[in-house]
Amino acid sequence: MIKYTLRRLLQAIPTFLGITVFSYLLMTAAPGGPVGALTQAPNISPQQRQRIALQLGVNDPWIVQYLRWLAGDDWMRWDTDGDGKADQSIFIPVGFDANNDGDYDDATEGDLHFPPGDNKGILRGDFGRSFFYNRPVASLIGERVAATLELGLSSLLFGLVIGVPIGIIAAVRKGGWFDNVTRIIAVCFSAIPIFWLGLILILIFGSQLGLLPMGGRCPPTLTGGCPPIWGRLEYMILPTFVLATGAIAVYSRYMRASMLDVKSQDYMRTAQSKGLSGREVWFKHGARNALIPLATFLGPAITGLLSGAVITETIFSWPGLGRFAVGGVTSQDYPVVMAVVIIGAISTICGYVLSDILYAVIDPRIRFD
Amino acid sequence: MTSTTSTSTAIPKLDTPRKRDSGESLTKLAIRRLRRDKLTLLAMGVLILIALLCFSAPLIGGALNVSYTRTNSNNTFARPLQTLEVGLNESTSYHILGTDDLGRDHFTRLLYGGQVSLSVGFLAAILALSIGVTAGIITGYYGGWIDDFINWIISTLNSIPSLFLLLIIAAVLQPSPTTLIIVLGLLGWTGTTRLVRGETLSLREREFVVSARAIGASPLHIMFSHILPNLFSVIVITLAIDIGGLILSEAALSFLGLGIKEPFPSWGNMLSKAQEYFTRGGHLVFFPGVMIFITVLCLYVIGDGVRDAFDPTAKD
Amino acid sequence: MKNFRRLLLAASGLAIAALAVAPTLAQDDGLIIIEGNFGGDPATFNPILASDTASRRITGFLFPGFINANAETANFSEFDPPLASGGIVDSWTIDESGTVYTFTLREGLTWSDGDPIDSADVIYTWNALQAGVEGIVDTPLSFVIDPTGATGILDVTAPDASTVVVTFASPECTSLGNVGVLYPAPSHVLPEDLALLNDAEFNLAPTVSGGAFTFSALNPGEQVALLANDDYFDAATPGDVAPAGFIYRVVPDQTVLFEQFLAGETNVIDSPAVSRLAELRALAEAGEKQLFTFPGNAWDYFALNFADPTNPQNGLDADGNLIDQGAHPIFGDIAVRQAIALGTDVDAAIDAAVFGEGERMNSFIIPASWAYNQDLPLIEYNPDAAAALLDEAGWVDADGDGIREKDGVPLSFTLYTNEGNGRRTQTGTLIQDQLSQIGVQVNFSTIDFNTLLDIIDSQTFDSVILGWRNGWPDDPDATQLFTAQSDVVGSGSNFTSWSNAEFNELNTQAKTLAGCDTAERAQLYYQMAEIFQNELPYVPLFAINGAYAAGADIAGFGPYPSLLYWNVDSWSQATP
Repeated sequence: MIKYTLRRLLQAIPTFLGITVFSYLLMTAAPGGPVGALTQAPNISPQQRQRIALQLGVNDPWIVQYLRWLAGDDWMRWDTDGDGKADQSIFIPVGFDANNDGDYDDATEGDLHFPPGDNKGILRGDFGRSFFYNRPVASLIGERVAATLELGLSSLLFGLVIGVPIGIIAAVRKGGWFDNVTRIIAVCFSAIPIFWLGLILILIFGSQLGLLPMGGRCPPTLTGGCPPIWGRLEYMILPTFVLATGAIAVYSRYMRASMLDVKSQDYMRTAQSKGLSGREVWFKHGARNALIPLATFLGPAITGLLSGAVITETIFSWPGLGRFAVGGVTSQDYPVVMAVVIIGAISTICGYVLSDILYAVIDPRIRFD
Repeated sequence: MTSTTSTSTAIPKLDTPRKRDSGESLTKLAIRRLRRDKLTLLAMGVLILIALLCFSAPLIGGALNVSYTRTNSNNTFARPLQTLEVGLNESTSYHILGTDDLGRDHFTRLLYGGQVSLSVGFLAAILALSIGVTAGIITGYYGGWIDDFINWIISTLNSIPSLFLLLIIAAVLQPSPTTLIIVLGLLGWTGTTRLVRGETLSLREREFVVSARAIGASPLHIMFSHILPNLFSVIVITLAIDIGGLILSEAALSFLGLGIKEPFPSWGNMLSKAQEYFTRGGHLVFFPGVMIFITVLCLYVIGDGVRDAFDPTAKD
Repeated sequence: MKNFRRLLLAASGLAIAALAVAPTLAQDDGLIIIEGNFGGDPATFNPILASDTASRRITGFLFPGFINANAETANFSEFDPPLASGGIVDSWTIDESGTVYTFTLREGLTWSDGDPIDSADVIYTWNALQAGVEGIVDTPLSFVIDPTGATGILDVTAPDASTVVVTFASPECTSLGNVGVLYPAPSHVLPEDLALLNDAEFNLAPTVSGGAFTFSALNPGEQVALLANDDYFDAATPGDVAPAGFIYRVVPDQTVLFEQFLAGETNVIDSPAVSRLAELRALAEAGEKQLFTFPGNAWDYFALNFADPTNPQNGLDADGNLIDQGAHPIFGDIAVRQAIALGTDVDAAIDAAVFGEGERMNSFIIPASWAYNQDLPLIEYNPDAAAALLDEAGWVDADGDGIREKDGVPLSFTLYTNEGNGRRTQTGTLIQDQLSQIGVQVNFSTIDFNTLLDIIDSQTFDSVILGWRNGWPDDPDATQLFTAQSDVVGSGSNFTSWSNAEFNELNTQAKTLAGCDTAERAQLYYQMAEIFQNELPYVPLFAINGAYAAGADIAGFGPYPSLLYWNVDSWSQATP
């Protein structure tokens, strides 16, 4: 199993590279560029603008930018005489020579000598610096990942806890009123735009009834503290529900189908003929086997949750990665977007691997080789 | 999350019929079953009606003497069923669903928006399906390095949360209806491919394919004359569910400001824009939402109905 | 099944438990001001580095300003509490050349840790701005330094602890506006080595304050909390800042932001959506909320490109001579520009785009400005006159397709605005429809803001709807917007490439008028407004009304235009 897991992770490397090249290429192809987003004031001079572009390195060809992001720029621009200014470089300029006289040190002309590169690149675990926040992306992500995990896991759990039993009962009583009603509800919920659902729920439960807060993760406090999760459940209810609606619909339908599949298997008939009670047959033999295909669902479920988080977090003012990603895309903060894409990709890949392992745990017939 | 393409394709995966005896008779059986399925028939009827209305928007606008682009600052936020306004040619015009924030007729605007939303959903789904089915048949039929390569693309695409990818792409290509169709189509085919690949793998070993190969039929001929017709039900189900999912995706993108842009109307951008008019023009919020809901609901019901109809294990 | 039941029970139990604890604000220790923040997180709390709105909101609470301006008159002023306070300058003198300003600082001001606020704190900022020019410090304030030394601030010195001398490149009436960048920074806790300033711990956790509040905590993506600074030197009641604290909550969705305010989850809202102002008015009338509206300093315009968009050129060559930039095939004809202005129903746009919450402009000067010419009439909507003007100029619809043409050139152009801005989208849609009625075809589209900025900077556009937000206190100087020296391809704010010798001359006069008397300067700006209205580089649209709203629970809420929090230290919990 360990061998299998390792192999799966190794196989993920080309996938990972593909994702990063693809995303970086797309992102740098976006018109506008991050400098415009950073310098909207009318009093910014063209020189200042160009300097910012050079400092951020966004004028370099995308492949150089990608390399820098991947492998860092400490080997692209370095300092040999120890004065803190770079004097050697490949691919990227040593400084900004405003008047093209080959000299970078005349500040009155707007020249600029860059410091040596200090980005280690994603391969060495460095996510780079955010253009907008001018801080390491890793710390920005670190501040937000807990919120997304909290919401994602609770929705996953909520979706399973509600969706699976609904699916089982619907399959047991196939064609009955429960089956029909839950099916209709599931389809209805899947047909509502999620931002719309969120907004309506906020208006009903927050604005009209005043029962639940209208977004946020923690109550406002002057000390900035956030109570433990059980102390702020009221903040979790609406976003968890909205994020889980899709999951509930999918899990329940999936479980129902899987259960119906199992229903026609021989061992179920055997169990029934042995005189076991209906409930025992269904839940001991049926549900256990029907759950197996559900395990494969973990990978897609994670991407679904992350995608859903983008909208849910925006509507519910939830301080997580999804909303952070939207901000990164609109301000064209490349390192931020790349970081979020990578985290999304890694969690998805892990999700797929994990579901394979779960598969093996639930179904002892499956062996990895 | 259902408003993206990732989950919608996951629904039919397991439910798809796998043990069928003969494509021909099953299709006949399915049509017979569909004829008796009132709910699915109703959904089809409603959907056709919506599409007809949307695509005859110019005629309807003419008949009601209203225009979806003509602004009127003296008649903004008119409530539904207001008919007494002086219209285009100094004669009475009929604002069945009232007017919007610029005094444009809401009903015809909704219909034009429907044209955009339906076309985007339908064409993007067709594109996704064409790529998906082609790739699925080829990988399933040939296997080998093509299979590996396409699987690599699929796992790469599937590893990025679809909305993240859409966000980035929408930032690159200023979304017009055309670019949105292409983007949504190019991102939405992976589920179909997996499904079709599986089907093809099993069909490839069936007698009629084996015998066709034996008499020297070309692979192309086998793939398109023998395998493709047997994928009919998969295609219909996927299409119905994908269109629904794509209409929702467009709405989600509009909410994030990355969908189809004004002044083009689409249900998605009408809905997300109307948010701020909750108190002034509730009807502007209500109708686009209802149109999306009904359309997507109909598509899902049709998808469901077709699936049940083709289900070989179901009893008549 | 048993397990399932237990789980269901647990789930429903949670829901019930949650319903019992509906959100309330702890109000035991005085008023807590909670403002919803539509933008993102503040990027920094360092006044030297802050550039985004959210950051500036917080640094405004934590740090004093340099020079005072009177809240009521919006003019720079000597220290004169309570209306002109919060700055560290007491008074100043100007030498004969008009370029050297000597500022005397107020005595006895201290940071919250007891350290005195003196000229060293100003010099620190000045050094940081100079380091900004060299790219060492990422500050947005370096724009006051021109590396060539032609304009802006040349030098800042401190002869003693309570004197700051600022030398300008030339005598200009806008000089005092520029010294505003010299925010005093707590130099005793900031890194001596400016290279370390960008990453100083202080930037995200400021330990020292010199304003009404001190920093308490930042919850990224969620809120910033500040606590009252009872040692604030300009507190209305010495030794007591009345509110307990301030919380800046991030609420990314506008609708939710507004609903939170209505429900009392937040109690201050800056610039509420104009679509909901009518609601707020009604609530204010009923005494349930407080509302303050004022003629805004943000304004939208409809800019027409003068130069040939296929061959963009700078306004001036290296020697300062005008460059012939060619004429725009359509807007090069003044009759077209005037017809467009006549054929644009700006009042309708104000109604539709800002729900009547805007004031028409007759030129580039905002109606709230002291330089606004009340006597210059507005361009009245008159489609018939517009059509007649076009007919006369030879733009006629000969082929009957509804679009006029002249010499084979159809009267058709593209109009851009930034997507995501509902107000400008509405205006553009209206203009498109209105101009179509006089035979002018407008291809209107909304595009991404950054892309649009690129297009504008490259001067390859036909026309664009965008806006400017003027500073406070506002100076009507037009050098940045409408002179040939600001017409630079790739940057430069005079992207329509309009230049007019008479206008330029008047602008220079007004900018360098000895004594800078506003009444005298206003006369010059009146003439400039007239020239502008005849030439129409922009079809003037409207200034958007500003608005601040507060809950009825806040006593002391009394803003001035553009100054929501000027007296925040005396806000308190209203007694019902």
